[in-house]
Amino acid sequence: MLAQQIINGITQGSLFALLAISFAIVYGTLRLVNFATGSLYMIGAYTSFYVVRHVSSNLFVSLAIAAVVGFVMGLILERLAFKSLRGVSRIASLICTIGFSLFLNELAAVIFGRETRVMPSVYTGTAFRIAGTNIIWLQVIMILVAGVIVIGLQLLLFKTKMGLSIRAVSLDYKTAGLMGINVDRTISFAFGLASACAGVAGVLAAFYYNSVFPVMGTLPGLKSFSAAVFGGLTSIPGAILGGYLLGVIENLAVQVISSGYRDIVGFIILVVFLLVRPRGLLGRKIPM
Amino acid sequence: MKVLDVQSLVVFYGKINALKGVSLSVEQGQFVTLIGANGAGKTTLLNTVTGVVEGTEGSVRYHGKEILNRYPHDIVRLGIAHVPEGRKIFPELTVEENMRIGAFIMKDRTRVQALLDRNYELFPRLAERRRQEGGTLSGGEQQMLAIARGLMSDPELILLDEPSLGLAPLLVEKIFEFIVEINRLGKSILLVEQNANLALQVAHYGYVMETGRVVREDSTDRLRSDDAIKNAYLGIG
Repeated sequence: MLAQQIINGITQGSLFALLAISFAIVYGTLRLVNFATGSLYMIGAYTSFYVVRHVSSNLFVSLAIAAVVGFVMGLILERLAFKSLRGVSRIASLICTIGFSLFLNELAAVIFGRETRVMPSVYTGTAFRIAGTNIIWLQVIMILVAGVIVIGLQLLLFKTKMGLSIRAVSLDYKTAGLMGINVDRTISFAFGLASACAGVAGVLAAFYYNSVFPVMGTLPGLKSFSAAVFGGLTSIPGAILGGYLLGVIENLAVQVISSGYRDIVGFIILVVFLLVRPRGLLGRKIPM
Repeated sequence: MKVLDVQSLVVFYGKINALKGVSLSVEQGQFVTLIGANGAGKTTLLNTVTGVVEGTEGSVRYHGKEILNRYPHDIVRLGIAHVPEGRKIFPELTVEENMRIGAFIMKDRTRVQALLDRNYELFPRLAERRRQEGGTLSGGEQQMLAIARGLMSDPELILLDEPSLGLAPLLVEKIFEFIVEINRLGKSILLVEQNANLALQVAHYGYVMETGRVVREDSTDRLRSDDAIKNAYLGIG
């Protein structure tokens, strides 16, 4: 049972990690907590629902399409909601992300209906057994997809010119502009990237839980915000660590305490870290 | 030939009139300094030239072409580098990454490498520390890095904002030697300084600003021997 919970925790942690990365990228470049992240995850999930119905039932087709949809949604959101508010009070942008989250969830309910849609089960065969526990292929794929995205992002950030400009903008956007970096475009790109991560997480969740519904992103969104704070809101490695730790801790808590208290774990971590170590495990101190 | 030509520039910060019709120009290869007390509007002028701050009226011409209120990232492509006040290096990027980001507008890799080599030759101290994070450098080294980073875009005109700020006198002299050297290499320079003494010794031509206006302009030789300037800015007289 213990091994099973740890495996479940790591699988779920992959989802939290992807969402936490999404929070970290946006926070890193814009100093903004994007509470619409959970809604972008939901949009990713719905994308896969329709891709499965009309295009292909292949998980990877859904992933690719949802990544693109997420990226574009991110660009639109950034243009509509945040660009005009940049440089205004930060609290206005923050509230705007909450507003957008509610708006997108309601819009989804109107367009797709409030009822839970069922996703097909894929890759349910046992990949291997560890300590008497079956690990199915889908779990393996989820962990691998998260891993590939994490490595890809690190390469992008540290080995490419676009990555260098994202890092420069996140450190000091005014000076980055003086260097010839198009700050607006860089921020849009980062936002798109973050949204694509959330979209991919949504697809994985849709297949893993076999269900899609309009408010499905709310709780994972808030929990992975906790995970991001846990790891350090500005750090991608921190977000990954926070995501996986939260996944495992949450599932172990189910084992030790009771499944009824599952959802509270993340928020206890959030409160404790905000009180004791607001920069998280791996985060840097940033000037506000 | 005028590289930079600012005419009757007016800038407001909200209701505060920071520049009240400033005119100033830099000739090809010329070393111009702009001196004045804190709050006179010197930094605002540089920021308006490079599009960081919006100008309300007047004109800024670069090689005769109007560039007022264009984006900072477009200005640097024209050949103007702005080394901002307070150095503003990227503390968590390495020295080399800071340098490379100065050459962000360059597409040609071999050209970037050539500029990198040339600037490391000019600032050997930076070459030694290329793998170190910018934030770990001393104040003087950070200023060198800020200037070297500015040079990485291979500009024709360099705007330098208070490079002496917070540095020990010996280091200030060193930095100024570099600036003179850069000017000798053919770059036009507009230097904003509170250290008027030093600035008027190295530059060819000087402007004096007070509360948003240019109140004097002349060759630095004449400004240096002017009694009013001596009293107000040079602390001698």
